[in-house]
Amino acid sequence: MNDYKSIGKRVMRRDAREKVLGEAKFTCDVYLPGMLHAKVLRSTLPHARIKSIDTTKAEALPGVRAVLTYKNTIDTLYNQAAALMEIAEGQTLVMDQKIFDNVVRFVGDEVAAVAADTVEIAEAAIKLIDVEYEPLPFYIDPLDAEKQDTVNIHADKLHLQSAHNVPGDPSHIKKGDIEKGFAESDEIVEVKFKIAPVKQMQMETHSAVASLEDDRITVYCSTQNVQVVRGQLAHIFKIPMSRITVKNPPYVGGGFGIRIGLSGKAEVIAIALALAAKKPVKYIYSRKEDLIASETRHGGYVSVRLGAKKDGTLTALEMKSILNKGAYTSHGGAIHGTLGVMNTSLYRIPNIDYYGYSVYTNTTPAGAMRGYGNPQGNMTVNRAVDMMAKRLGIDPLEMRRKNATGKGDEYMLPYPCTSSTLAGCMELGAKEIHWDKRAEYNLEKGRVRRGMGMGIGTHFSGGHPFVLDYENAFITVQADGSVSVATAASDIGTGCNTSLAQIAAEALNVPLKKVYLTYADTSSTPYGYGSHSSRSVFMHGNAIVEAAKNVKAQILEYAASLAGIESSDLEIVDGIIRTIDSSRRFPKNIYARRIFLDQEFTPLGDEEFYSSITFTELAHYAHSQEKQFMGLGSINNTNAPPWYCSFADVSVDMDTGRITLNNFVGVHDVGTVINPDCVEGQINGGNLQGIGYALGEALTYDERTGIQYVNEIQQYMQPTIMGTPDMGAYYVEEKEPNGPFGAKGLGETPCISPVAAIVNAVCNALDIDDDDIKVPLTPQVVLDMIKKNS
Amino acid sequence: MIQDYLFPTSVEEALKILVKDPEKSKVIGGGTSFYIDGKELAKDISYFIDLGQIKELGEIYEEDGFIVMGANTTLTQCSKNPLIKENYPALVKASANLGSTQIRNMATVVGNIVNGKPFSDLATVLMALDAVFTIEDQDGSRETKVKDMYHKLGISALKATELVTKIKIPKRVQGEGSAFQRLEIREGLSFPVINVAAKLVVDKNIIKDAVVTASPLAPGPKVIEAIGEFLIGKEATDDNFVEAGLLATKSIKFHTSPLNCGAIAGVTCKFENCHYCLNPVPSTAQYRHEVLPVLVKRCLSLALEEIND
Repeated sequence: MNDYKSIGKRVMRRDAREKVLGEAKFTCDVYLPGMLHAKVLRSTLPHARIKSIDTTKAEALPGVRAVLTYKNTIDTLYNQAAALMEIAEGQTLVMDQKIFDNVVRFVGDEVAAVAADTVEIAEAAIKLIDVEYEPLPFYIDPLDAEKQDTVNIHADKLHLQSAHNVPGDPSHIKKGDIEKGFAESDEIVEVKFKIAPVKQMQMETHSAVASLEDDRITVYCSTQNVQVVRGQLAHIFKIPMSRITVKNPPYVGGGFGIRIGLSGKAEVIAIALALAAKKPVKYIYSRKEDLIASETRHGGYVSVRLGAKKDGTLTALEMKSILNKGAYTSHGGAIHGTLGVMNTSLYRIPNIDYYGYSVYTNTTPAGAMRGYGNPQGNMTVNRAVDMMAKRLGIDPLEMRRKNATGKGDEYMLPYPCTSSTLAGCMELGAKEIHWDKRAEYNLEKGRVRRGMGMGIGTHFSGGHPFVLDYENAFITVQADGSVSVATAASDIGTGCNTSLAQIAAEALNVPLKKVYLTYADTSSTPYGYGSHSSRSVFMHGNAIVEAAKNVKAQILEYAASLAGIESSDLEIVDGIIRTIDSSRRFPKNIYARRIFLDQEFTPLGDEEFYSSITFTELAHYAHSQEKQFMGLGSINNTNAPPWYCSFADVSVDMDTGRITLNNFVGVHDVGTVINPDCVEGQINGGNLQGIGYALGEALTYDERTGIQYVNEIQQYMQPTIMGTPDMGAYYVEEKEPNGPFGAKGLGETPCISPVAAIVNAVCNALDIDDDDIKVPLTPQVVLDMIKKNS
Repeated sequence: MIQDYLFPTSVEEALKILVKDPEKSKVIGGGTSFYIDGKELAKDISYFIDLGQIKELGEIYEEDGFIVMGANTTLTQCSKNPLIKENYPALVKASANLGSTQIRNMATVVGNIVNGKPFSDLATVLMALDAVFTIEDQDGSRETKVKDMYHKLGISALKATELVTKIKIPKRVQGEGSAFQRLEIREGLSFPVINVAAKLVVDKNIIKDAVVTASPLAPGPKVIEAIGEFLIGKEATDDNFVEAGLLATKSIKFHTSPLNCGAIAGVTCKFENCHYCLNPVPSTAQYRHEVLPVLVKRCLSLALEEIND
């Protein structure tokens, strides 16, 4: 497809060696001199007012250096999501959190924190804190919490609620005339999903190490975007951003959206304790804390009503979502907004009506997770499309060929559909899953039934224009000709510190080995939004391309001035600047280099002039003339839609409801592939996350106590390799005009449509049109479906 | 506070160490179930007594009509041993599928019973196979069966001064077959929704003996007596196996899990017979009862297929 030197190549990931050898440094590996250890006391009640709290015994314990509660901790209202730095003027910014409050709102809410010489002392001290609670009514289900006769979970912030227990604004998307659309239809199908909340289950729990040096606060942490955290900390602690340094150390053990912004309360508690104790403080969440007290994906209810003509033309889509917000807003409106806008854009439908909102409850707060609201709508709309296809006697693949949104189509997304290979993706997926066998499998009517299903989807490659989203990059050519690229990305395991270097190398046309990335550190990178929203390659990559253009122009101009020609007479090839017509223009005196002798040389002879000069030679000559090449790149006001489809082949045990996944295929339109290994890794990992979402992952709560049942990793039913077929990770490339070298977002997309594909496959195997689906499809749920429909 | 991690080289030595401070000693077989809560539990332990170096506990052999398995036998060794494979298809199936490869390479068969967990795959099978445990202390040895290995929910009947040294299982007789069925939410690394094991002895298609066991039930697995009573003397047919399955669900009572548990946020579970601790896999009692007949039927049919000629 191209003759790129770095782009599209399977170059080894730069973190591979360190990670495989166990040498990669994460926040838990950070040890500072005199560092204390933090532990947190968490609420055992789902909703209560703290009547009294006594920390004297804890404070008296030898080795305890600080004990904090709501009484002695800064009480700034904030929002731990990136929202604080992302919400544009005019939009509602819901700030409903404090580091500690005198009201606890879920089991696991933070009540107090201790910093001590050792983890053991801190743990012992936590147990010495006496808290007396006044229990308040609590709600697990959003349908209960939104009733008018319930207690308001944030009664002191009613001005931030658009309805009772509904923080922020609802999302309302309309197009055409929905009633007219249904009136014109020949068939109408309806389906309702009840979807369990799930966890990101990133390998590294929330972590932070905070220290105070030279009147500055420095915090190492597990965030996905260091610059955003710096802004949040400045707001919370009322300290100028320029006095705060936030960095990853540099590795982060996964994100999946759980720390777009603060890593839970890891940073704020570590800093508050460090300020109180005047010593560095480390706070690492246990897995139990991660499970019960860090953000989840939103569970809730999504319903769809879909109308179509006999020939399969879709006429109307009505969709509603009521999501469980949990105890605090975090990523609030953006989630139900994304749910609506993405899934009203998948298919060409003239009449659309979507209404969605999220309701406070007393469960673990729901925030961002890979897909950001999209999967909940995606499974529902794609299920309705399959139901319609069955009703009309049309193959679901054919139904999508006919109705899927394509390049240039108008849709509900606020950026144009500038590229799409979805049609090609669907054909490839159908071939790989052997879609032609679907009808044959459906003929098996024994105690094991087999079926196939598919789902399609779209997403974004960044936040624009939903939220503020711009990006910057610096490129500096060092005196030895090597290239430093600085941008505020976080490599949360995606490999972006490799793929962004590939982009920089390609943009400058220098060998990849000469390019190094500085990232995830506010003190050495310009402002930007980091790694989330499938934006790292798209936004950071675009900023890097801009910076490369800028520095390249400087280099060519300087070289041209030395050669006495125009910069347009020069080109850069593999790190060598040369005259396009091969004429000898560079005078011999500029090659007189005495250091960096291991770097590239131009073979010199007796001639006085030469046709080319290496990066090293030029940069070093510039250095000797007291000059450095520094490029700045900025990008804003852009986005692009990635497209994708998932296919599942399942068998269902009719007697136990147990599902066996026979085959699974994900095909993605990612624009240009920057690094095939990284792309395939993302697709395989996302497929697995989607498969778990469909088949077994769920958080559940005891309705009598508000306690979340899953508080150990072994209780959470993520898929294992034993139950996973050899999956296919595929892509169909096409250049996206707005992307760096034609690339667009991929980070989230692989986990969005698997649930749709699996639910459709199960319903196909069972030959049912269940209008009331529960996700995940555990054996018990499936057996209930079988009984209900027999 | 941990004082020492000891490797005795004989049962005698192990018992001698154990008796010094039995309440603060922890016997380690494979260690895999201990390590799950190890950090928490280790606070109350002074001595770890690791049986791994005791050679006499490492053997599997035939003796007086029994196959004898030393207490150090790992699940991997159990599933791959020729004597076990020849005699007990159910035990091979259960030991080859528990946990993950890494766990099976470390975990012992005995450990899966003496950890007291109500959802033990191996206990379910060993009960069906009528296994006998040899338990020793400094005063001598005693023998006990699976049902007497449990004291109460989550706690085995093994005394703090005692060690299980071997498991004896009656050798397979003419016409005997066995099978094991486990329903799980995911494959690998998950506790079972339910376990069923069956032993069947058939002569000329007439059932001479039938033992079917199930778990999780507190405190240990149970023999579903009604099935034996119904099947013995009858023909080994699908219809009879289906009927046996339906009888099963009337004779035992499963629990809904999770139901109650305070074991969270640093608080230890305060409920008596907590169904959550009983079985952490979310499933209602109703569902367990619905699928029990299916698993009993499948287990009996598989046991019939496994019968030796």
